[in-house]
Amino acid sequence: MDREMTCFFCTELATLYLEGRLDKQRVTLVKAHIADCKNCKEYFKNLQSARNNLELLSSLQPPQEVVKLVQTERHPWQELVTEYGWRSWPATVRWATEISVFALSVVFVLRIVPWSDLGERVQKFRYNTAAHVTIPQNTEPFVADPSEKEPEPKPEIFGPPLPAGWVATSDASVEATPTPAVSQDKGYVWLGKLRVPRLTEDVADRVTQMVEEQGGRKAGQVELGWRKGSNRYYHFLMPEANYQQLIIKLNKEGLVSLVKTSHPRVIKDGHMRIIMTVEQDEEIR
Amino acid sequence: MELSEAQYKTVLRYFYFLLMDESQVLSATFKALKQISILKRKNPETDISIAIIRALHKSFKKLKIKSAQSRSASPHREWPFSDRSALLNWKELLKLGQTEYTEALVLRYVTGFTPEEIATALDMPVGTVIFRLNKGLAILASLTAEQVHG
Repeated sequence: MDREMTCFFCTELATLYLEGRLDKQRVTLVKAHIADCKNCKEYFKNLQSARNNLELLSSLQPPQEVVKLVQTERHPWQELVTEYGWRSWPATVRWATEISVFALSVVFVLRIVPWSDLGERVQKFRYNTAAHVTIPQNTEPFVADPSEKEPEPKPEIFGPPLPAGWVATSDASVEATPTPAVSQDKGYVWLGKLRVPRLTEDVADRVTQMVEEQGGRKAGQVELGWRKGSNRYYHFLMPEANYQQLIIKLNKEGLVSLVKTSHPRVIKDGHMRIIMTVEQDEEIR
Repeated sequence: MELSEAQYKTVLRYFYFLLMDESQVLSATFKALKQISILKRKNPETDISIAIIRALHKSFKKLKIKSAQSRSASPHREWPFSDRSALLNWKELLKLGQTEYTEALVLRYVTGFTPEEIATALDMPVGTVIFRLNKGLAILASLTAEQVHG
């Protein structure tokens, strides 16, 4: 079908004409139109000029060293470094950044991590675990408040005279030697408590040391100084001969009170069994 | 990956025209080369030219093409534009912005791929490529004419 070559068609076919992709018939028609139409002639001229200039730009080559750089194999890390321009930063800025990062890491490790609490937390964990130890059936549980189970006759308190300013809960009479306790048929146990102004780890350790120095050894399942709530529990056997020394030493820590009570468990001659609780009493100053 | 020196230059030229900073050019080139190797690995039968065009097309979308208005006469020290009209064309080309016309013009005239190769690579009819070239050239020519004649 023959169609008249208008300006619209001419502009639409311009690139194909310049690319040399038009058939002979259309080329003839476009040439004829350009010869007659000033605007289309100008349009084609500008288009040709733009195309030529673009092709001129394409003849320019990139620098050879850049081409060589691109041709070599690059590690992904190198690509990352190139991309973020780390190497293009001034050396001083890079050093400063590296040192700052290192310093911040050190500060973080030293300040944020609770180094000082670690020791306490480990001990707490250990003692909390020990608190779950159950006492076997044959061990006499200690009665916390002697007044609830006050034996007849009146209890005897052993120990030297109290230092000035200390309050005694009962008679402070001291007997030189303990009552020979054991008969063949009936046993005894000394029940009592040591009240200290402030119960700390050091105090508990000292009491344990005192007991051990006087020949005391644990008589039950739990270790000397076992934690019982906020108190410390001591259940031990010791030679009767060392009893007085023990009382003297314990009185240096606080106020000790022991009650002799009968018990079906018989202890061998020359020894005595003591169940003592160490507790804090802030009224004692 | 086996590319000829001419193909490396083609890829470099593409980015040199569109970007100003040499570090950006290198970064974009490495990414495009990586993309080409991935495409070749996925489809070993693909022609290398098609793979290059596809990689360049993918890169084009991510580029940040800035206008040349605020720059000095020579965009890169290694590439002085001695011809004024060529320099003018380059600046006006960038004024077209990040459009399909710019991409078509650069792929056709700057990197030298044929309309058929471009059409195959980008999975579009040849007529669409020709249309974009036509439109791009027309806009470029009008912008250049404005600059020249005021």
